[in-house]
Amino acid sequence: MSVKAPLPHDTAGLHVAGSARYIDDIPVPANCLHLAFGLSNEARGVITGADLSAVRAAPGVITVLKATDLPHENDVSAAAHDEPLLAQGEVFYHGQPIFLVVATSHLAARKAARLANITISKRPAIITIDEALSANSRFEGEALVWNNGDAETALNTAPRNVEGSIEIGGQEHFYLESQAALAQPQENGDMLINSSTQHPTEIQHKVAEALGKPMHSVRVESRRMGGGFGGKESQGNALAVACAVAASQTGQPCKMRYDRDDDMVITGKRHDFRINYRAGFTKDGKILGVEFVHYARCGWAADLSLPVADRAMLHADNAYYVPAMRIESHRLKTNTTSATAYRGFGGPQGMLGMERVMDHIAHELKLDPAELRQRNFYASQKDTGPKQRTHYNQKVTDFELHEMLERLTDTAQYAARKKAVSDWNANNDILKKGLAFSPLKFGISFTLSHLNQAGALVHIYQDGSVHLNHGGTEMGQGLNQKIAQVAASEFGLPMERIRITATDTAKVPNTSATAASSGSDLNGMAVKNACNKLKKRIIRILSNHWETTQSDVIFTDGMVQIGHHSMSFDAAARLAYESRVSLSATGFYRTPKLSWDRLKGRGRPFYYFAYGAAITEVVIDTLTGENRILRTDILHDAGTSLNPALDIGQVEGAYVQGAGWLTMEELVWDTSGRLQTHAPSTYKIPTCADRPDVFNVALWPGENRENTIYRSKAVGEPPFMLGISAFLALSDAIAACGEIYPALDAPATPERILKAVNRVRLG
Amino acid sequence: MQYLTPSTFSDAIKLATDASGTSRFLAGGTDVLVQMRADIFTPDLLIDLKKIAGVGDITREADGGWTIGVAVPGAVLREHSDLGREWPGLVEAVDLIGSTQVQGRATMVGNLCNASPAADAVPAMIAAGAEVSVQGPNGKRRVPVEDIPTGPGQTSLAQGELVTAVHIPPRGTHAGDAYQRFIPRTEMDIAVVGCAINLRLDGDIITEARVALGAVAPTALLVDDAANAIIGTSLDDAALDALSAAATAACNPIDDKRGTIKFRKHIAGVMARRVALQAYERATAQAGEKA
Ligand SMILES: Cc1cc2nc3c(=O)[nH]c(=O)nc-3n(C[C@H](O)[C@H](O)[C@H](O)COP(=O)(O)OP(=O)(O)OC[C@H]3O[C@@H](n4cnc5c(N)ncnc54)[C@H](O)[C@@H]3O)c2cc1C
Repeated sequence: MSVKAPLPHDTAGLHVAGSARYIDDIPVPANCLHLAFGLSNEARGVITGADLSAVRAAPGVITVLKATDLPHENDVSAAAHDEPLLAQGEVFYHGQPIFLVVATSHLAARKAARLANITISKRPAIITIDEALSANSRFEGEALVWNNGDAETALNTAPRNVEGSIEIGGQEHFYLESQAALAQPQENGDMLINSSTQHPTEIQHKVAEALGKPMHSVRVESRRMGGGFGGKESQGNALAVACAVAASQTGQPCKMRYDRDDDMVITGKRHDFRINYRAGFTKDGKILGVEFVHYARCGWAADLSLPVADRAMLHADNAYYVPAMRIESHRLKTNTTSATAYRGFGGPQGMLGMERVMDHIAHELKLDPAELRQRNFYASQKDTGPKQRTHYNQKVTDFELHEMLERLTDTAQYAARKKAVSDWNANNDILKKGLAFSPLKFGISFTLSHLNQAGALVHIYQDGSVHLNHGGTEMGQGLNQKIAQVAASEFGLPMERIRITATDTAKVPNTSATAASSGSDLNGMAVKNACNKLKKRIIRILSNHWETTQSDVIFTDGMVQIGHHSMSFDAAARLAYESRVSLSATGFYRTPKLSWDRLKGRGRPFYYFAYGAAITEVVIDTLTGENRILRTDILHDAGTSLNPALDIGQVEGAYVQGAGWLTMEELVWDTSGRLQTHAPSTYKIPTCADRPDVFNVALWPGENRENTIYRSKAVGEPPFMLGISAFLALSDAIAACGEIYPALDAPATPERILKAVNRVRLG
Repeated sequence: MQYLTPSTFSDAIKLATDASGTSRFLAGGTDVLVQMRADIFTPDLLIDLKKIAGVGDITREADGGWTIGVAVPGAVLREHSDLGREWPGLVEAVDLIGSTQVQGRATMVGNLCNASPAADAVPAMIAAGAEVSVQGPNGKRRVPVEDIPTGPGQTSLAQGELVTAVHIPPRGTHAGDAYQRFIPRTEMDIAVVGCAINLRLDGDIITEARVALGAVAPTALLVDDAANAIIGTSLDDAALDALSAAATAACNPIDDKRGTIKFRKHIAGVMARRVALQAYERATAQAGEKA
């Protein structure tokens, strides 16, 4: 069977050879026009004048559009209708698009955009979390509060307490292919859009709105993205809509891609958070109650901030049973880019809050941090007692971490290395080492329950080759390969008989974003559903042909067997065709068992949980703050992996990205709201050389206890949070410099590490 | 934009002098092409120096010094059999520039004339006592490397002037150099602080030293106070402390997203100490080799 086989990414060869097509590689007609936005130089203000004559007069400029020139809706928001494509009257962040230049080349458009004379009367900008709090600038009117049990009493009566706060920085997606879109006018005013998007249906919807057309007039195609990471869930809307509007006005194809600097300044990023915490626990480290206050900096527009902040709350327990918890979540509105989806979708921030609490308690009690964590784990799925419930009342029935921790501490030789690290630290003043374990439990499903649906379209041609399409998008993660493996297994065909084509709103409608790690769970099941329909039809035909009853059917090795009869799949397809049976079927899937009340914070938002565990060893230079990851051991739960090679690739990449978030990736805004780190020269993502010197990644040989596609588990987001172990290891190394708790903030840049070392040394 | 490939320096100078619009010399292009692609600067005339005879040569001079052509890329420098043995700090500094791909193109002179305060090769060239030959419409001159950059993106080269060669002094005996930089990750990054030290020993006493710092001021600095702090010493703790203090004091950095002033000054002190120890060790080893 091709599922479970470690096959390479279906277009890995094309990626390496440079022949995989991204938006900017699509051949376009010679009359294609190119677009660039003119951006706001102020974080907040009223536009008092916009003289665009120099822009219009610049070489190559065809036309320039302002908000008032737009034919219909001026909105590119995901849902809230609060994000104009072009600013109207007011600007709300530095970098906000104000006008759109349409020119004969990319460079001409960009150069012209700089010639505008826009005058903005400044208003006081709200940049930081503290500024937003004092101005009471927020989404949803007030903080969302979830209570489970009586946390206050638990804290007040607990034998021991810790209390603190952690700052958690945001993160730029840094997809290698920046945002891009291409619009080509079709007959009858219809529009064909190629977009680097995780959400073709939303692009279709927003373009239709902007053109004042029904959705059937807009077709969106997305072959692949050069990385998405959540940054292309809603942030591609502006480019696609701009291209569509310009294409419909000029009658010519229009293309837009952001240069890296523009991309970093204009588009949303991971939410930065501050988390205050108070925890009560017993002398042997059992948690009795926790209170969290989450402050999320959401930027100027709502975008996906509410579900992101919800997911942070949903992961405030991480892997631990907390008898009483109170979480207060503030969604703050600021004059910065509108923070958006990013791998983990708030989960990482929420989880880091809890891991900080664990780290702090372990330091306070001088207990082994892994041991302390295990004491607080949810009960094992093997445990026969009543199942424990999370702080949002979902039963935890599939908890794998006890067994995973045991395996990982064994393979990573945790105890011996813990001792070696403390011996090293006793003998070395300048270089200090740290070792840390972190577990993860991540809830799988969109928390907006209706999004948990997917469609597919499968054709069998008369020669027996299979063409299929599904609603998911390919962003490098290998979704198409996994789905093709599902179809190949269902039909018993070799992989080369299956072809997956570009995601296309004309083939599968009303899709959800490829997000929430759900790509293969949802689309795999939808494809399976379509394959089953086709198999039933083929079985019917063959049963008639052989005049046999329909039991005992096997599709395998390119053959179809019914009882003792057998025929090649290709011949069966031919026979079905000649018998005038449809060889095309749609498939559909919706995730079962979900129910969720987000305001109360009660219910079952998740179909199941994915688990993972990591142990990371680092070394820091206590005179400069420089640091390296020496070794990382990971055990990750992908259920019965659909493709272990792709899954391990996801785990490795996610870990490095997660570690980057908490170490070297630092977003800096100045006091007037200008992003200072808007290029690779100032914003540092990990390079190949920054991955751990020793990097052992294994998949946990379990299976999903829920009935998912071949009992696999989602793998896109969860392993990102294994990067937390790198942050904890740095904290551990710093702690070796003295007695007090380091209270390290993220990202732990060298400068921040150095400051923490000095703080701990002073005591 | 026009692209030309003169075959002599005189032709190149004439092209630049006669140009009606803006012009740029092109060596490896790893700064120039990036600036063009990013729309920071696009010249009307691009004068490629790589077709001029001898610009790819590394030549040993009679006095034991070296002349290095202006188009020799980092990868060729690194693979040279003798240069890196004599000037490991200099070669390592050039080798830190960019990635494998960038190394195939990037030159020392391009690094110098691009005049970034954080350029990696420049402090090492200064510490080595390197000079460059400059030629222009008004003739030739020889200039110490530290006199070329005058500020971020600014050089002392006049309109039409270019660098025609780099001169590295004879290594001599009992000497060693080293360069290290501080970056927040492990590769492909811009120095937050760079430090190069070149010194000579008599026994275990330092008789000559040059200390240069990068990325802590508008141009790379030759810090005499730091050199004086170790000359005449055996690089004992007191000398290292004095060196470190002098390096910190010499810094005049900007406060920016890549590092605060306080941090950069502190790091400069730490780096100077470490680089001095490495150069000292190399000088000691070289003395052993020769003896
Ligand atoms: C991905 C990447 C990473 C990088 N990493 C680093 C790094 O780690 N450290 C670092 O220091 N730099 C780095 N750089 C910058 C760059 O690679 C170096 O500055 C390099 O040494 C420039 O050399 P070049 O030959 O490519 O110069 P070019 O781009 O050809 O020229 C640079 C400048 O020098 C002028 N010039 C060239 N030759 C002469 C001459 N003979 N006379 C007068 N003027 C001349 C040009 O007109 C231009 O202004 C990096 C660049 C890239 C793209």
